[in-house]
Amino acid sequence: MTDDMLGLFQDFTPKFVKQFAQLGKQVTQAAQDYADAVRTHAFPSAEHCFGVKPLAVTAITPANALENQAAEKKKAANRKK
Amino acid sequence: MSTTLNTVKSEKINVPSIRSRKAKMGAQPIVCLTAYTKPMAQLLDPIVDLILVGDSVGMVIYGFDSTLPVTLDMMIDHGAAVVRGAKRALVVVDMPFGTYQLSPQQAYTNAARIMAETGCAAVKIEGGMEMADTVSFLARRGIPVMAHIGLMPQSAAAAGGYRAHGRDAAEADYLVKSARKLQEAGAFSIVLEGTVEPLAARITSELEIPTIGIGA
Repeated sequence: MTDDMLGLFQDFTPKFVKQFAQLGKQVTQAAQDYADAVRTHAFPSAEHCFGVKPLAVTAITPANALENQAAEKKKAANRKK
Repeated sequence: MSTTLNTVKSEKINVPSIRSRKAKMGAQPIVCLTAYTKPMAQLLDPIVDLILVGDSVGMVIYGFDSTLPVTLDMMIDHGAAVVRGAKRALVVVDMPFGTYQLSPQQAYTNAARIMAETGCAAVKIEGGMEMADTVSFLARRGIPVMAHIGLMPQSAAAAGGYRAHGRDAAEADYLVKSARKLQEAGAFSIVLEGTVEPLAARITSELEIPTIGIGA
């Protein structure tokens, strides 16, 4: 069975099984590293987040998002002039 | 890697303990991963706080190109498998497309089946303020609900595909109001998916219940 051979199924290992990988151990390590990163606020960082246009980055609220849109329209209009 | 954070506690994590985990109140962020099988749940259980049996099972395991073809029976089978592997982490099972949107009664009937047949602790449903009545109907009848706003894969067709949400004022307003309504309705936490970061941060700081970010 593939899951036995990969070392993913860990409840028991039949005699005829040779583990060609220990993916279970790697899963545990990866999950632990992920959990540590979340608990220390190391993940997610800015590169994993969806941003907004720089103008709106500081504190977007429904109200100032409207202002930002208006400001951008104004800028675009000025550029045309 | 630091081992000081390997706070593997043996006590079972329950819904109130997740509900009270507000990072702004000094609590550690909630660590959540998905699992669809018992062996994966066994591996994750000592490490994470929350295991989500996502309807993403349809894309990740079954090879569908969206989550829409996922059935209630699939979620129950995978939910039960994960619960068999989870001794301490809180297991939350997704309600799949078409099993809760029709009415609060439909949602209750199907959520009750998920709870009874899997042994999970809570269900998750996608939807903003339009689902508040349903969340309230379930929560008041003893079914803990995790809400889910922002990018909602079950509604990707209507939203024009998989894209980040909350970029314009109307969408941002809808998300902020939805988060408030869902909290009022009794959701014990809210998943914020694919939501622009300043808005996600604002919603998280405004709410009394914790948020769980995926791309947010």
